[in-house]
Formats: sequence, C-alpha cells, structure tokens
Amino acid sequence: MRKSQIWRGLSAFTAMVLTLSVVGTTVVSDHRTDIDKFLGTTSTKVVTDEEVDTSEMYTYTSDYANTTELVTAMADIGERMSEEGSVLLKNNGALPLTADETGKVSLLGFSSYFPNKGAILGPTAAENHGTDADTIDLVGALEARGFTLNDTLKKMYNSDGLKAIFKSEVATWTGTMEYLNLTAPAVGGVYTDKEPSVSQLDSADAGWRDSLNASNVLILTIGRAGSENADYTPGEAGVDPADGLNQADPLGLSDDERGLIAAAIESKKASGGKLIILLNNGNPMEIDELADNDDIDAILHVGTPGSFGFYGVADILKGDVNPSGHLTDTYAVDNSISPAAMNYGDLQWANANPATYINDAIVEAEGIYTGYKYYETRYADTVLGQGNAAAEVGSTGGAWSYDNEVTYTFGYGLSYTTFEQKITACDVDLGSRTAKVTVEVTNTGDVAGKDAVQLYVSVPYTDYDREHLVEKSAIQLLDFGKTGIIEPGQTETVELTADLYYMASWDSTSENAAGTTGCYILDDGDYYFTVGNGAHEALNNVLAAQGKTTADGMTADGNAENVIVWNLDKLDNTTFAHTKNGTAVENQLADMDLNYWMPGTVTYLSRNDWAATFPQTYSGLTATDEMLDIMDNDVYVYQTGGEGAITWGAQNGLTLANLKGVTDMEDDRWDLLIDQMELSEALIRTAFGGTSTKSIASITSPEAIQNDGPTGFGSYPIGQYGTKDASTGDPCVLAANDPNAGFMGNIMANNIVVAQTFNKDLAYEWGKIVGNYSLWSNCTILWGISANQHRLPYCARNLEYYSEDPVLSSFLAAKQTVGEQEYGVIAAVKHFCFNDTEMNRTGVAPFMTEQKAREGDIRCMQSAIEDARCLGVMTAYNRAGVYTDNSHTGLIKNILHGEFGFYGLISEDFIMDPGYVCLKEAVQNGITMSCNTGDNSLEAVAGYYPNAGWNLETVGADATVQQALKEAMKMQNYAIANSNAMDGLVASSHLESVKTWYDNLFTGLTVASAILFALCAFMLYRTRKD
Amino acid sequence: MKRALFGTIVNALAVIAACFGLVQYFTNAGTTYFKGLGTNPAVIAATVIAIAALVVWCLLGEARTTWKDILPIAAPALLMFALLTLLNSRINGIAAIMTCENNAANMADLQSALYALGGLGVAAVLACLAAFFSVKKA
Repeated sequence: MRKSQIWRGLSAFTAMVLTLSVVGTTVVSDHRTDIDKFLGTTSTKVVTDEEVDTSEMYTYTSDYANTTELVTAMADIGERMSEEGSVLLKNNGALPLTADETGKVSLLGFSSYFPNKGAILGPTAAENHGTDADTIDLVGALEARGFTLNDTLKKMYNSDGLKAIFKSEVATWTGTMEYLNLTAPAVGGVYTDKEPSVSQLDSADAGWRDSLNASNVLILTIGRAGSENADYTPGEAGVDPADGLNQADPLGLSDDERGLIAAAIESKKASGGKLIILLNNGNPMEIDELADNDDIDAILHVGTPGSFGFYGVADILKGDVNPSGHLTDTYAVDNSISPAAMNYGDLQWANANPATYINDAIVEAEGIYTGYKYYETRYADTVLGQGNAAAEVGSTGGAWSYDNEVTYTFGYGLSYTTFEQKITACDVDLGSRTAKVTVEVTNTGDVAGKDAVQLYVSVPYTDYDREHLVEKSAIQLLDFGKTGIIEPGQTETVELTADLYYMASWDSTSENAAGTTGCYILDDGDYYFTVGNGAHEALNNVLAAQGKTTADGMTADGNAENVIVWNLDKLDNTTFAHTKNGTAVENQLADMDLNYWMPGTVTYLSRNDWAATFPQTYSGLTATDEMLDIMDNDVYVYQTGGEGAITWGAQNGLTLANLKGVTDMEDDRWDLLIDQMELSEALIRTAFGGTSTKSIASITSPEAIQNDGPTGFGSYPIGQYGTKDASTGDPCVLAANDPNAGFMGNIMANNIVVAQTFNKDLAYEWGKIVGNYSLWSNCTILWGISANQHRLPYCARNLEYYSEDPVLSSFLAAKQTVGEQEYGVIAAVKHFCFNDTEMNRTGVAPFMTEQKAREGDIRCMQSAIEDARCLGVMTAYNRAGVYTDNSHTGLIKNILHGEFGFYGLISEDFIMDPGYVCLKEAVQNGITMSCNTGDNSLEAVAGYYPNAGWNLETVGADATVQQALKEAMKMQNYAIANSNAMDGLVASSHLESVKTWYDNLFTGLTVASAILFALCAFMLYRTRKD
Repeated sequence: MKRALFGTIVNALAVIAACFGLVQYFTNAGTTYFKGLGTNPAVIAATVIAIAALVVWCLLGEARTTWKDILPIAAPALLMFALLTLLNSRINGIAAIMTCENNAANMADLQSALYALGGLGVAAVLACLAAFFSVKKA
C-alpha cells in the first residue's frame, strides 16, 4: 500500500468521523430530552440569586422522611389494595384456610409460579429488587406468610422442560422476547393456550399427582394477560386453530385448563382436600363451568395485583383479612354474543385509505347497553314482559334467560361473613342536585370485615323515551361507599351524597337553555333507590317493589323493603341544563352518529324491542365524499392578514414563578406573562411535547417530566431525577448510596383491582402516595388516571381502566386525582375519549349516539375533570366519528373545556404521523402539545411537520390560530405553575443551559477529527506532490 | 494488482450497499407509517452524490492528481451524513413502534427503515475502507 493511499484512507476516515460528530450533534440536540432521561443527565438548570429569600421556594413537602419510609408505604398500600380488591366469587367454606391447611398447599398451573403481576405494556408492574421494598410473586408472598408449598410441583414448574411449553414469544423490532408468564395476543392475533396438559405434566414429573396427597390444599391459578397494544378477538376466531383444545373463545377455558382442573378435583376427592381457583386476569373470563362445578370449593379473582398485591392475596387465603372486593365487570357466559361484540375488531371501510389512516369504522350500535346495563335491563324486561326481551337473539340458546347468560354480575362479591344492608333514608333535592342517602350495614355473621355499599337507582322508561329514542338502563350505580371493619353483630351507618347528574339521561331531541336541542333529562315517574350485593340483587329489589316475584320469572325474590321510591311528576329538562360551571349544554356529538352522515344506516339497540334492534355487524361501510373530506385530516384552512394582530415578545418583566400557585385563570398577569413569549416558542412547544414539557426561556417555565402510567410512576426510578444535593433546600433529598434510588413507582395493581375495592378513601390514599413519589423522584406529570370504559371484555387493555361502569370509574379517578394533586402532581386523565379498542387505534372511527358517548366513556372521566380539577388530560389516537379525536371541536373544546371547565395541559397520545397530529385544528380546540420530540428550533418543526404550515409565516398571518396558541400556552403553564415542577423556583430564578458530558464529547470529537482530517489531507497533498 | 482488485471489489460493494440503502429509503418513505414524513432531499442528494463519486473514482482509476482523491474521501462522509439524517427522522417512529405501536404492519414498515439505515451504514464503512486501496491497476 502506497503512502498516498494510506493518507487518503485516513482522510476519508477522519472526514467521516467529522461528519458523524457534526451531524451527530444535531441528532443529539433533536432528542436531547430523551437522551438526558436515558443517561440521567440534564441540559438546563435553574439558577437563583443566593441573596433572594428562598423560604417559599418549595411549596410541597413529603409525608415521609426518607425513601425507605416511602417505598415501605407503597408496599403497604399495594398489599391493602389487593386485600380489598380481590373478589371472592365462590366459597363453600373452604376459605379461609386453617393454620394446618396453610402447611400443605399445592400450587397448580404455571400462572401460580409465573403470574401476571401487571400488563406486558402499559400498566406494568415494577420488578424492584435490592431495595427496601422488593417485588413479590405468589410463591414468595405465600412463603412469607408462612405457607408450606409442595416442593415437587415447585421444581416441576420451574423445570426447563415445562418452561419450554408455557413460554410465550413476542416479536419485537430487535427480535423475539420470551415471557414465562401469559401474554395477550398482538392486535389482530390469536390466543394460544400455554397451560401444559396433564400428560405433559406427567412427562415432566411422573410423581406430581402423588405429591398432592400430602399437600392436598390445591390452589390452581388460571388467567389471561392484558396489555396496551393488544386485543382479544371474540369467539373461535380469536383462538389459535392449531391448538385444537375445544376452546370457543380466547377468554374461555381450553381443554388443557379443564384437564388440569379435572386432575385436581380427582386428587382432592381422593385425599379429602380442597380446590381453590385463583383468577389472574383483567379481562372477564368465561368461567360458568367453574362456577357450576360443585367440586371446586372456592374461586378468588385476584386480577393482576402489582408488585405487592400477592401479600394481600395470601392474607385473604389465610383469613388474616376478610375479602370485601366486588366485581367491576360482568362475567358473562359467552362474551362473544353480547350486543357490543357484534361490532368489534378489524371492521374496515370499503374505501379504506392507509395514506390518511382511514381504516376501521366501529359502530357502537349497542348504545348505552354496555356490560350489566345490557344484561340486567334485558332481564328486567323479561320479568316485566316487555320489549321482546325473551327473544332468542343474543342468547346462548333458546329464549333469552338471565341465568343462562350471566355467571357473575357487576358489583358481586362474597365475604367470610354476612352483611345486611338497609337503605333507611333517601332525601332527593333537585335544587342541590343531590340525594342524601343513609344505609345501615350490619355484620350478621361471625367474622369481622368491611362491606361495600352500592347505591343503585332505577329510572323510569317512558313513552316519551320510546318516542325520542332515549334509552334507560333498568338499574344503574349512582354512588358507593365502603365501611370500616365491622365486628360481628355491629352496625355501621354509611352516609352518601349522590350526585343526581349521574342518573340523568341525554336526550338529543330535548329543548335546552341554549335555545338549541340536546339536554340531560329526568323523566316523570318513579325512581327506585336501593342497595345490593351487585346490580342483580339491587334490580331484584326494584322489581320486588314493582310487585314482581319469581313467579314472574325473577331469578330470586327481591327485598321490596330495601327500596325507597321518589316520584317526579313531570319531565325535567332544566335541572341539568347547565353544567357545574354554568355552561348550557347542547348537542355536541351529533356527527358521531353514523346516521348523521349516512341516514338510516344504523339501528341502535333499544329496550323498546330487543329482538328488532339487536345490533347487526357493520363492516365494509363506504364513507361518503363529505366524510372523506374530513377524514383526510386537514380540515382547517389558514387565514391571512393577521400579521401583528397578536402580541408576542412583550417585555413585562414576569416569570412563571410570579404566578406560582395562582389558581385564578382570570388573573390579568397570565395574559401579560404569555405576551412575553415569542410566536416561535409557542409553535415549537405545541409541536414538540414529547416526553416532557420543555423549558421556555422567555417566561422561565421549567421542564416538567412526563411519566406513564396507570400503576404509578413507571418511566423513571426515584434516583433518575431525585435530588441528591442537600444544599438545594429541597426537602426530599436522597441519601448517599440510597438503596431505593433504583426503585420504580409502577407498583400498584391494575385499575380493575383498585376499582374492585369500591373504596374511595383507598384510591385517595394511593393518589397521595403517588404524590409523595413525585416529590422524591422530581417527576411531575403522570399519565396515570386511565379511565376509559370497558366497552366489552375483549380489549386487552381493559385492565388499565377501572370498570364497565362510569360512576365507579369516575369517582375513583377523581379521588386518586385529588390525592396526587395535593402534592403537586399534574394528574392526567386519559384517554379522552373513546379509546375502545387497540385495533388500528390510529384512525379507527368509533360511531355512537350522543347519549352513549355522554353517559359512557365521557362520564367515566367527568368527575376527575369537573370535580377533582385534574391539571392534565391526554386525548386519544382514535377518531371521534370522522374527525380525529383532537380535531373534534364538540368533544374537546365544547365539552372538555366548555362544559367541564378543564383548564390545564392537554397532550395528544403518542401519535407519530405528522398529518394525523392535526396541529392547527388541535390547538384551536385547546390541545396544548403533541407527543413528538425534536430540537428547540423551527427548522426541526418544519422537518417533522413538512406539510402542517406550522411556521412563522403561515401561522403569523392567522390571528385565530395565534390566539389559540396563546391560550394553549396559558393553559399549559397554568398547570405547571400549580404543580411541583415549580419547586425550587422563585420569581428571580432563570434557566441556564448546561453542557453535558456528551455535549463535550461531541465537541471534542469534532475538534479532534477536524484537526486530524486537516493533517491527513495535508499529508496526502504532500505525498502527491512528492 | 490484488490490492487494486480488492479495492475495486470493496468499492463496488459500497456502491451496491448505498444503492440498496437508497432503494430501501424510498420504500420506507412510501409505507403507511412513515409516509407522512415525506422524503428528505438531503438524504437523497448525499447518497446519490456519494454513489456517483465512487463510480467516477472507479472509472477514472487510481489517482495521480490530488483532486481525484476528493471522490473517495467525500463519499463516506456523504454516506454518513445521509445515514444520520435519515436516523434523525426515524427515531421517533422507531421508539413508538418499539413500545406503543408494535404490531405486524408497523413492524413491516419499520423493516425498510432499518434496512436503509443498515445499507447506508455498511456503504459508509466500505467506502471508507476502499479509500485505502487502488481501484484498478494504475
């Protein structure tokens, strides 16, 4: 090799490295926030003059003196949540176990050894180890509570041979990941059974059956996994055809599961033992055959209990705690024949167009009849003999009969004792829009325990409703409460103040205070208030009060004396004509009804005639040209002539800290502050929300770190951003070598377990602990109040959300929000709204009546927004009808902001397509940021959104968009000013850029490679010359 | 002679890898997931110029004059520029598909992006390596 070649090669190499360092610097700048998060570095810092009074620098203080106290409290509430949130579905006296029985336990089913503590993605459960509160599984929890487990089984299920059978493989971009616990099917995929067959167990260890004789308390775990970005498909279509295991539905049992249960029954009969089934699932399984099997002694639904919940499960099994959980969802015999299931899955438009995310149309033709509101209302109508309720359609076979369709109803749950509840007073006051209800709860059994009070109401279904297409559930939850521990023979009185709004119905035809149409109404007639262990018992009380008995087809006689009737003499469309902030309501979502665009297309389910209106499947619909014009996601046309109309870049001398803790959004200083911002800053900040709200120099707005998710702060451990420097004045300073620096906060059980407690105080307490974690971890924004309605059991993400019932969801979400925000968290509710499926969630177009929308998904989040005043909201990937969710003015601007008075930070979901982000439409609806990231420059914005017109020239000419931008920035900074992100700042603080080590590395690399390149090029030149 | 042949082969492989990367980039820019980002003229221009430089250098043969040396020196730098510019535009998408949007369709869309990145990366390395050798007998 000649010298010239060597110098040429070195020149090429150094030139390449120089390019790498120069362009790499740009790449790093574009993704600085995420790199900082990954590396634990920081690129900006707050600088405050030392002479300034810093006594009010920190607004929020923790309840805990150190991280050990914090994580111990987290473990404690995780345990208590499962103690109260596990639901005893069946018990013939087998539970609780005696001390002797805890010494001879056999755990069966691989999910006993590798349970799902959380979801695969989304509401995951942290695996904390080596901290002061380590994650525990079922085996660990039982052993910690003194159980003695069958060692033969333990070894067998941990053998490589069996692991190879029940391991799941999930494809990722980096290859295949293996899980030993259950996984949910990928979107559009099928469920594959993983339970080893009995013969496979025999092959693994021929002595396993014999080992059950000495350890004859058999605890067998079966389950179904949940996850974001996953879905079950109803019916046999959702089951891997290669399995051949007689499985009719992914949520039903397979022959391998049946075989294991049969083997367990055989063994326990032979040895005189007992069999207890644990359900480790979020999505309601089809378990009618287990409920009906007398050889199964007990069934305990434990859900996915998080990092510490199995301690609570052990406490229940052992009898240290009396179970008091109640179901949040109906357990149907066959989920796939419900009205909602008729329209679920990949229902493509005939004129689908991937270019603009026109993919699926989901017609939610079931209307308001979701979950128990379908099953119980249809049952009521069979008893009342109306609406062709007993027709065969939607039945498992023959005439529709409740007993054939429902295994366990919403709100059902058993205890080790018995309770008697009496509703003794119900004072309805339309003036205050409340009902004060008194319920006496008496422990009539032998064991102390808590009980849930479920207040239900049955509202009249009238001729007016039939004429105006207003639907009414025969029974609905109105409020709930939880007692303390009641000793045997003792009585506790529970007082509830029910918000009557939650029993009002949306009537799209009603006159209203706005002078248009659409209003909440209360029909004239009798309103039946009652209580019950679940919706079915409550409904039976109502039917009894209406004079019905088992002779009329009731499943059991109700207790008419436990009903208080209140009469309204005429239809009321004025009491709820205004929301709590005084906004007059009117139709906002008429265009979400497919019939608005394509008249006569959809028949919505009505109790007026169950048979004639039972939903058909709507697939292959053809969107009209008018619809397509909107679904191209480019609705707004920029205006011109607005240059200079809006004030930017003013010198008003304010910083965000001047408005720290100012909750009055009418305070004039807000406008003065935002006037200081440059238009470019507003454009960048709305375009790039990403994983944090970036700092804004002109108003000294600090960066606020965002986190998922629903089970607690799960993006960063305490030590990632936690304060380590005691001289800062931060009251939450990590110790040197803090053992909990690596502790992740996503420890809680899934929201179904939280909701199954029916305990608002516990939700509030969890919110407070989340708030404390926020202070120690210096993470402010939590996308954690996940409250979408469980439309049907097949959405694998259901475990992230509370319930099929809006009242249960809404009130628990509100309590958790209040708890979090007491410590300065920006508690964010999601996904507003209609994230009903994970299938094609970018682009899917859900259609429904406005009544369903308002009384379903929207109501699930309403109290957290309207009452608890959450400071954050995340919108949804999906559309609302034909508009992208973020573009729907009625939903976002008029309902969320207008009717509910939301004021704060709103982020889009993780929408990556720059066209589908719909910046100009979204910002005008009050969206304050997208979820993309990029450099703090307009060039980066233009690069990411090449066709959005999101630049100084276009937006600078449109006064309307500019004004919306200012309002968006005001709302976002209002949220930050009222959060713990402001801790450490005073009015004179300012932000300074910091060179990180990687900045210095790139700078050094650039300089070094430039010098070396120059040297090599010179030597090449000289060599050539010679 | 052997070294020149080796250099020619490496150079040719670099051209092939760069062409492959460019084709994959066009493919990726047309996928449902990434189409909204459009195509970046800088990526295309840098890759095309790099390919042209490598081809011209090969056709001209071993340099005796300094200006011809610019071709093999510029090519890897241009390919590195194209690689990083493309990477910068795909990071958000990769992150999303790694987490919230992991499904078969998006994974398929992502594949061409990864191939494009791989092709350009390999091309840059090979082009750099080729610069150490003659491309044909002088």
